[in-house]
Amino acid sequence: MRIAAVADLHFGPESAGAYRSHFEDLADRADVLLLAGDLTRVGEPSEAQLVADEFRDVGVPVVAVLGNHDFHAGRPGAVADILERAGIRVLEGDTFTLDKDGKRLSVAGVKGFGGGFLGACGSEFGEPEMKAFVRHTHERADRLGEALASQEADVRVALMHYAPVPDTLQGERLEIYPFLGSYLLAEAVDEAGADLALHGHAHAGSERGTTPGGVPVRNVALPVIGRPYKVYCFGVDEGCDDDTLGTRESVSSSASAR
Amino acid sequence: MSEQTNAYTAAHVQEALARDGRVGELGIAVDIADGMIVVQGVVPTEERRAAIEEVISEMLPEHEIRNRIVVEPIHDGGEPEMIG
Repeated sequence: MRIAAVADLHFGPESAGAYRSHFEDLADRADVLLLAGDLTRVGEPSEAQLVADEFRDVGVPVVAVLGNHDFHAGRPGAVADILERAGIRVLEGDTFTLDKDGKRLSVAGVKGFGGGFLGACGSEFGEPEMKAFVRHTHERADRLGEALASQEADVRVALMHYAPVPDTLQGERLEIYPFLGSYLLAEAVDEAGADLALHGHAHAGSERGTTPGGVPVRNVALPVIGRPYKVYCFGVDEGCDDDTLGTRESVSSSASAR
Repeated sequence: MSEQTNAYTAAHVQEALARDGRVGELGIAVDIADGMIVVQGVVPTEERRAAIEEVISEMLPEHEIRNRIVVEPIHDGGEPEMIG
């Protein structure tokens, strides 16, 4: 199974067509394309339409979660509807399944939210606004865990916008870590089990990390990966060892609880 | 403006660059000193880079702007990584 992923495209009016040539051969390189949020500049439906037009015919299924930018205009429902009408599956606490060559891929997706990481995180305490902030993260994490646990698959991927671990935030200012992700997302991934967790949001972060339970985490924010997408492969006989695709690195996953 | 005022003004500019629909960027660094505004960061397009300057000019027309924003180039290809 070959999983292409990218986040933080931030489509505005000037972005139309900017990525099309880069995705022409995507079907030769990947079986699915995952978009880890912040597809639009400020969440205007007109921007979502540009994203829909860009990715409607890339030759593989496209699965997305929304990010904070996609909420800014207050119309995330309209953004999701436009993408769905173009055939882009938008996940929020649910799953996408792909069967290919006798293997099943399951993708569980949520936006996620912030709150911080172990030893330096917010709590549901004090003002209603603070309680609401942390409760939102709890709810997103719970939905991610339920979605992950609901599917049996050969490869299970957790797709989110916010970061589940601080590893992939290396390069960002420490002061803003609580706005970049939450350990609750990692806890959900570790409890339900997954083979890979993908996120975006942290433009100045780094690509690779691991949950405390050992699940590989990858930050696929466009400025981090420096490419229109990154491909992650499961299974050596499925096209990942094609030299034309460039270098690869072996990372073992040991935390899948099925 | 005093150093203290500059710091607050820089924070307000940063907030405006996030909220303004022409820009919508949260990761732009803003420094103000001696009537000069220096902005640094990475954006996806030239238009977004120009919009940052436009928004700041409207807010602080008397300031000189040093635009050090970099447009993220889109390279070809997606290098694969074996996970399992």
